[in-house]
Amino acid sequence: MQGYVRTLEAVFAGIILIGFLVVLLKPNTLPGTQDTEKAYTALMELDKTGNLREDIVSGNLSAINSKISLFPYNHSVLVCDSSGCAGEVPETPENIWTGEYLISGCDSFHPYVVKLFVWEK
Amino acid sequence: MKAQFFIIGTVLICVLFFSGLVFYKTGIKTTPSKDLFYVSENLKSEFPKALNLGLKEKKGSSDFFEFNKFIKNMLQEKAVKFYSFWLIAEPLGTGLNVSVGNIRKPGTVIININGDEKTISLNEEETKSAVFSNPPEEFQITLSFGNKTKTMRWVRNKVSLYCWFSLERGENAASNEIEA
Repeated sequence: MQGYVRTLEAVFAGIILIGFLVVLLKPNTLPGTQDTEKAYTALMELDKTGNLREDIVSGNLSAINSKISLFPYNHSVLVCDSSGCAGEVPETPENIWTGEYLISGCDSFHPYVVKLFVWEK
Repeated sequence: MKAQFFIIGTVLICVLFFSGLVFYKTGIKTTPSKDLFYVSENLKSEFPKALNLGLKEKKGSSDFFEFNKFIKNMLQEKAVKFYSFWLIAEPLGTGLNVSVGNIRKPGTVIININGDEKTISLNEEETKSAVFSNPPEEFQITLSFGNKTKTMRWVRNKVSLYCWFSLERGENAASNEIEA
């Protein structure tokens, strides 16, 4: 009878051990698709309402930033063309995800890509 | 007899432990990437705008080519391979100036407008054009490139665009086509 009890104890010990390892080795999950979608959708909506292109071309990054609301996240924008980028990549130890939006120009042809960085507060 | 139960119990625990490790992959897990889908949707709506902006400056096909090169370079930073092929038809008097171009999609292009067929050989990242004289006001154009054949009905006095593109990163891929 004592043998059965010990075996049962050993099984319980194994389950506890495995449970502990599962918690300990919890994988680092990168931000999900929905987060990239949020960033992309925010930029697309701004473009659809005519509130993006002029600010990109004029380099008015603060105006773009102020028009985006992604509560409860922080965000910042970076605008790049073929010669370089304007804006800053946020330095934060937390996960950052990016939504990008390409435009070919506003009143004249000049392609840009606007990158929206989003991270948890 | 007791000892045998202990052995069975120990084996059972070891099996549970190692099978758990095998089935439980450690490291960074990511959800299947969908960003290519968003890029694809973005490009689908932006290509006609790029052409219109180019046409405003009388540089329709060359600006379109520049836009494609810009996309290729930008997506390269994200480890995305961009492939594209396009055809732009612009009215030229009573004729039609047809230009074709590609990014990473070189090969032979066959254009047939109501029986008038022209073959163009495209190198990588190259644009070429051909003139079709006196096509009907409304015509059928058949385009063959790679293993793809596309037939469209266009009108002569309007600028028309066909563009196929593909985005690839590892196992993720998205392709799309536009007719405008």
